[in-house]
Amino acid sequence: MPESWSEVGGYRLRVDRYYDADRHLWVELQPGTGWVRVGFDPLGRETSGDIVEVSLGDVGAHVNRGEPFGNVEAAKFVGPLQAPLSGVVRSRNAQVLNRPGVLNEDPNAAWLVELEMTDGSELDQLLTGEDDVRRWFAAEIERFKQQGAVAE
Amino acid sequence: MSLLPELRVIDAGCVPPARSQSLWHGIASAMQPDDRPVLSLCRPANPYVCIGLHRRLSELDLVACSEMGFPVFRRQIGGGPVYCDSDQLFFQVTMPARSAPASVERLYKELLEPAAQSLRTLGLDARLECVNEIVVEDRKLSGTGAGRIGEAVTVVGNVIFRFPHELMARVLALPEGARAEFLRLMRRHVSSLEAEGVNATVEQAAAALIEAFAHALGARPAADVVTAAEGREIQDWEQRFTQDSWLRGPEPKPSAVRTVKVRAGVWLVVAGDGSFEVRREVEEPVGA
Repeated sequence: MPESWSEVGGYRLRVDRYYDADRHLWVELQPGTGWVRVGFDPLGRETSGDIVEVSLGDVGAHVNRGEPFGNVEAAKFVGPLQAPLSGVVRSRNAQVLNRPGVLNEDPNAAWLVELEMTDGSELDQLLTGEDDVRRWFAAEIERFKQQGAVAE
Repeated sequence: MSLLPELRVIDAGCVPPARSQSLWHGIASAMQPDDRPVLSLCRPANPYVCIGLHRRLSELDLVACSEMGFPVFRRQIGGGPVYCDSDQLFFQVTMPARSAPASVERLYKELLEPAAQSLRTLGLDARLECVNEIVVEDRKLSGTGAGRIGEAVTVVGNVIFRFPHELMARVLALPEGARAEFLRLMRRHVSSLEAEGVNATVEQAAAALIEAFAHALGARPAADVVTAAEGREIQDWEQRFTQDSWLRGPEPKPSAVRTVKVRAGVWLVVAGDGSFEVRREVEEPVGA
């Protein structure tokens, strides 16, 4: 399936993905499987700072939506990665583990884990559709600007 | 009666090494989204070594730590290995994550500036540099870090009254040549109140921190003690600190070189064959 991109407020993002609006993570369905890939959206990456370390849960571990599946570290700040969906960790991106800087370079491409969904209905709690994603992302840019969390 | 919100101030005084870490881990774990912010203070009664969540235990000379009687703890926040003792006053500001600044850079700026202010109150020309370094001129004055634990965000730091650079260098696993260079760099770049000629007491430092943080948060300081829920979380963290799986930390990462941070912008880069070089980067001060 061809990728569908959009630019919002100077940020490039995929509009054919699901987004966890609270955690600024993208979720991409892997065709023909019940698996999804999870990664940072560009705002999630930017407000985290320059990521220097990543730890991810063990393959085979089950996480519930909202529970941590790993941690990221930037500027000595450690924050949890909270699962956008419930599922079993089926794969971890070794490239990200070995060189976390790839998250800073291209968060749209650098996935963190692949989850096998255990409750597909949770997708309904994520944002999807180009118009909704664009509207949400633009509002988030404004919110972060007002808080001084991203550059004007 | 003041209408200002309260800043709970929990001054635990001089505590066992593990408690100087579990105290604020527990306060953060127990925090609920609508809770008041907490400023906690403590000093470890005895020396120990503390390592950041993602750092490899192999960065430490565990034999040397054991011989000197220094326990090793892993913390839930970031940064490298640090030597801790009773000549350091630890401070931690913990607040609900939803009321904390939304970016890491902003978080440090808002919650470390009061720490720099408190050092100025003590007579030092301290300022916040880079993202999270408190310095006098080009000398580091405080170890800092931060993280989200449960529903809370915590920013931590210390007021260093005096610092034994040679012990800090001794607890790291370094080839001897690199260790000597690291010690030289530490003496050059890591300072203390004593080295800066400031003769302040722990009580004076604590009072300055309380005043600065209360002012910055627009809150009225209220002396408090840990709640029962916080106490249970503190106990849980102390148990976790003793678990091998927790202390062992992350899997080793393939790397041809190891970088040992001296202060922001100054690193010792050590190659596998023991050779080393000093790397320096100039960064703009915060707000520049």
